[in-house]
Amino acid sequence: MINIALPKGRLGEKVYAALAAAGYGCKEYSPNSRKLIFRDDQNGVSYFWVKPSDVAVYVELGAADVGVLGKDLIDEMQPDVYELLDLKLGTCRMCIAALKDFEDDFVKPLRVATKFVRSAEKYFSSVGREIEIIHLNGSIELAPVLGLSDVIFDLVETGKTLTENNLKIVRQVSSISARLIANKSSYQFGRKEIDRLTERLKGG
Amino acid sequence: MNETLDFLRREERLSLQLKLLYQSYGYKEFKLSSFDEYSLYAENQNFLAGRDVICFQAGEKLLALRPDVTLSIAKNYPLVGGCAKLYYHEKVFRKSSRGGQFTEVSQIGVEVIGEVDLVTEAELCHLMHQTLSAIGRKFVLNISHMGIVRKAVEAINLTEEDTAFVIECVRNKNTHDFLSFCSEKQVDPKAVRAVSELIALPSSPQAAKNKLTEIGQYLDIAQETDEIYEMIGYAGEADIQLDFSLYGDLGYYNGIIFKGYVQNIPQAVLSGGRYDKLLNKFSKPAQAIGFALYLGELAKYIDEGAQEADGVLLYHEHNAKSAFRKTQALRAEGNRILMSRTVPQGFNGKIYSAEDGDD
Repeated sequence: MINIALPKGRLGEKVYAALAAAGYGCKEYSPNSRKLIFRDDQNGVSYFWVKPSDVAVYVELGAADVGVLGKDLIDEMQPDVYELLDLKLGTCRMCIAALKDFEDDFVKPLRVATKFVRSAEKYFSSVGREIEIIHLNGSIELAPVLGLSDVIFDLVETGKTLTENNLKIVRQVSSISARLIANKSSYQFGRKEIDRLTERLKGG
Repeated sequence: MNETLDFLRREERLSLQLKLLYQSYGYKEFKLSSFDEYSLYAENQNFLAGRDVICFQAGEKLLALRPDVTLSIAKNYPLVGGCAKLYYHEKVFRKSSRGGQFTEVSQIGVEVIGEVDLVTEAELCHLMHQTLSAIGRKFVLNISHMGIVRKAVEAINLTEEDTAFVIECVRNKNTHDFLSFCSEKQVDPKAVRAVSELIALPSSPQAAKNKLTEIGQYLDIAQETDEIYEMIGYAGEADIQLDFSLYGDLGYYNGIIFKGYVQNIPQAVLSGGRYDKLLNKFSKPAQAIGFALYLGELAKYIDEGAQEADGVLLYHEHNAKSAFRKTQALRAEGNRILMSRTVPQGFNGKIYSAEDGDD
């Protein structure tokens, strides 16, 4: 039996569809149900729906053997897990964006609004730019519009929200997609099963 | 283990069992002070599991409560020639990697300092196997070699920052990001193949042997590979896996490294390896190898069972003295007896009462 933590929401549903197509379907599964655990003994699989940012915790602490979460959250949380596969789902970009007329003066510390504090610090430190972090939990795009920050460090999917708020992409930092992660101890004892799941998801 | 030790917690029983094991191999106990100079930990942060240390001013010195044992042993143990074989059972003070409060964690381990030959490495491997086996659950002991991973990564010939990225990919078994990176940087295909094959190597030493020989055709790893297999030859292959995602800090570790996992415990409970470079940092031109079992981590996942008394003896003021005598008599017969005025909630053992009017 493999225990899988899936992120609630659109990405989780896409990932479940990929897993079901790979032979890990679950008869009990229903996207409209409020149930949080689905189990299928025949296919040897049990699913938990958890908040996307909690997937890493469930896997790292062994409540789930494997899980799926975005590379943005892996970079930010740096969980002690194996990262086995790029599922190429939920693709987007981690970008620095600012108001259309923004130009960095490279004199004052750059005020960066983000919910990805660790990733932003790592990036700006790698390019030697002094910053002041403004930690927000949502509507990040609002920060430069209201003068709260100079730039934002955030995920961009289509860029529509940026355009509608008079913002432009200053730099793309990395490409983001959903990744399959595994608990290190579970992998030692269930490598055959987990490798089989990984291969099937690859389409092998 | 002696049945009369059943009253001890499993963690305590295990530590006694392991001390006897290490003594039977001729290892001597080494006791440490709970404190060391803060600078020891500040200067060697990359060797520690976490960066937080409890420190305090003591006179003119800044001291810290020990977050790690090996650093203190490496710094303080005097080199006297030959080979010192030591074991310890100590507390360390650290925060979990997920944050939270500082906790006092019990750790038991073995260190060999001086001349470390292949037989000593094999003995350590055997001791680690015995240590994990004593826990009484299914386990695996993973082995890697710093030299093999280092040579594979160095063959790519990267900047310091890019090397750190590749090492992170190896540690996380992340082949996909490694391959995208290599295609972007136009890395030599032979070097790419060596690293990706190491990441995906079968875990059984027997199954991995041919692959390592193949990799050896374009990477000079014959000596390191022989070292692993010769060591396994002494210790036996049962429950041993190869796992090159294990990679310690190059500033401290060299040679063989280990991690032990126990089924249904989500993190490694044992880790160890060859750390000649750490000794060299303290100007000690010697070799060293050791391992630690995290008893504190284990205790979180081991069901201790109810530590309940066999019986409760109820007493009142008017019969307290006879109750006390009766309790002592019952305890002398080997029973665990709690004296109490009332029966504790949920108590399932035997209930005794003292004779009225004896006092």
